[in-house]
Amino acid sequence: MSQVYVAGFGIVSALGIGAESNLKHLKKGVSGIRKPKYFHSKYAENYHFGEVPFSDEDLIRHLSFGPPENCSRTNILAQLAFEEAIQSAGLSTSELSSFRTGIISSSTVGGMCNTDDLYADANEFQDPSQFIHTYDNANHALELAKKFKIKGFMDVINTACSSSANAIMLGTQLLLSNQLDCVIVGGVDSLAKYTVNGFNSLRILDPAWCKPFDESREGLNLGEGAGYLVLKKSAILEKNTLYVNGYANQNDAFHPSATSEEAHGPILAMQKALVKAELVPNQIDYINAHGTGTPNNDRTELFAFSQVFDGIPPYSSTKSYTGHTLAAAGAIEAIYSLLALRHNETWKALNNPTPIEHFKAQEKDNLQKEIHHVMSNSFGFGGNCSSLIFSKVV
Amino acid sequence: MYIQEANHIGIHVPDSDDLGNIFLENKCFLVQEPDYTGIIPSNILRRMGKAVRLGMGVALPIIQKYPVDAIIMGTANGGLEDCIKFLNQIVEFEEGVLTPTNFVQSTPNALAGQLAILTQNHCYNNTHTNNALSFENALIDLKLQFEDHENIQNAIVGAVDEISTYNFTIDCLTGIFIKKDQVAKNWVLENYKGAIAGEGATMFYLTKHSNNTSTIKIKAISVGLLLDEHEISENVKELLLKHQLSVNDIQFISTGRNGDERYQSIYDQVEALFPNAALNHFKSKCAEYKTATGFAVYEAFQTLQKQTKTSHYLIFNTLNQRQSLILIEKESN
Repeated sequence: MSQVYVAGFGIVSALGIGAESNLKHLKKGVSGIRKPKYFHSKYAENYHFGEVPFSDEDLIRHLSFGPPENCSRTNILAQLAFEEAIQSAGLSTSELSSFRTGIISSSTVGGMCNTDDLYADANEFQDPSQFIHTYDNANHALELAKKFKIKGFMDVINTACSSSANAIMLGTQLLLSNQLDCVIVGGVDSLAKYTVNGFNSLRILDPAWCKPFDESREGLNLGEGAGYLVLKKSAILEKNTLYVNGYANQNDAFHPSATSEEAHGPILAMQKALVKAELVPNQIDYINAHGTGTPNNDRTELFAFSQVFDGIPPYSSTKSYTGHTLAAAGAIEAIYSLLALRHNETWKALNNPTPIEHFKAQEKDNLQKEIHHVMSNSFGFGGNCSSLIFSKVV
Repeated sequence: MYIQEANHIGIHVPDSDDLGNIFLENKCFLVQEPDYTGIIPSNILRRMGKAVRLGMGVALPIIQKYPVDAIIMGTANGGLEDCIKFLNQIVEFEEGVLTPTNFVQSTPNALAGQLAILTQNHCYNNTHTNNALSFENALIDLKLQFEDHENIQNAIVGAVDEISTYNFTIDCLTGIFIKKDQVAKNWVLENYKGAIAGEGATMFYLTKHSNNTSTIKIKAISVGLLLDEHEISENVKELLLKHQLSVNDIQFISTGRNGDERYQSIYDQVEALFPNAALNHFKSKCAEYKTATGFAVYEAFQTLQKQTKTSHYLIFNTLNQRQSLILIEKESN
């Protein structure tokens, strides 16, 4: 039976540009969340964000293939992670432009990161701004397709905070169904007044550092970034190859912007991913939790763990390092899961002095043992719950 | 996969030679919304933006009638009216205290999420936002779920996009749409410098296997990106070849002509491949929006229901550097 394996990946987040920089900060236990330098908003003065620590101009300087034609921060971040992904997978230009290669991306805010320009453009208060072509949710993916001549397949998914997890799932299915030989999957979001004010109106932002799975957690920190994985299929995988082993997409069917106490969606997503991977729950070595730091999410997710697992495996939320990167979160955390598998380690949970006591399980810091199977959760508005399982060939 | 039922809320095109009056005010075609009483619960109807309302209006009559194993939506924009309303508040109230209703309604997955909530449906749930391929991607998604999951046997798949003042403005500035004071009745054949805008919502109930009620099958969906005119014609021929069909096996050809001069030669070329097929220009009845192929499939379903012999219906559309072909087959009764 063929398996879909990860041929390469690329990442940009508050922990920096590239997998190496991200891993370095995770190992050190240093969060990328701080008061933002480049993001302009009333909330920039007092709130904490997982901002990518570079200006647009500096980010462009890190690109190998020149700036995108339409140069929003979203499009720059997407291209940065995309470039690293295809380079680490060693994809040739002919492979990229083959009709058997595709891209599935995702974003929630897209070009709306330039909230003030969109306001002026939509209301015709100015001549069209330079961002006029970027507001479409799919623009970042079209820019990538144009730049790298991807003609085989393109899709863009928006299921809010689970978007790029669904991109990974759909890409895996396209390969398994033999529609494509190679697919680049992931997502991107950049900080935007739009989302900051949206989440603030829902009162789920913590102005200070977010505290996932802590008793005193008050809300999430928004972050930005991008992550892309290059997926391919093979019948024979070498030792230590990382592969997509399980996936599921289910709906909580409870509330547009909150999860149910019974955790229907999260439980179903995790259970079905385990079935797909043909694993029993206790084979999961580590869970990269959705763990946003909101009172609602973390309670629900922990309850879901207690229902799915007899003894809850070690888990943590890396959102205490990156903030919640929305559509990019599924891909960024998939990459952290892959790094955990590759390096046999997990990283210190930050801002977590008093873990939620109601459940017996504790977050386990700095797990160092052979890791074979990692679960990565992504839950979003609209009740969208997705769970992925990545594994390593032994 | 087989189409069991289809629902559509669309624009109103008056049956006269002069469409001037409609255009003088709106410069685009707007949907005629039905009375939602009895379809959408009034307490939630109040909070809904147009796109969610339209989607609910076509989906609920179906979803309440049948078992649904997957909910998959295609929408280029989602609730853009709500989105810009929220945006206007952000700027005008200088990021003050805002109410979240518009924000929550503006997310493109709000419709698929609301459908799940209203029907307590925990099944597979996805939303595609790939501009002019959003609906096609939703169909491809379902095809993959049918292949991959034994327990997914049926689904609701939708194509929904609204026109709001704001996205109309932006898409006019980017050159997708054009504002005309009046249009001729056969405006899809005109050589305007942009398309005439519309909006609509279409919803399908699809099953993996045929049953006694429908033998109308979505046989193939082919999507293209950044293709030149030559490659597009080649794609059409390849699709037919793959399904062992000749051009004469296609009884109906429906294309997305939209009055925009930039696309006319592509449509000329594709239409010329099928000299013996009945030609339809679906956008003359739904105008241009990014998920308009949903309406084209709806029309195909209506047309094929009337056929008794095996028939093939091919839809070709192109917009914003994307192309799609949808092949629908009626198996003989």
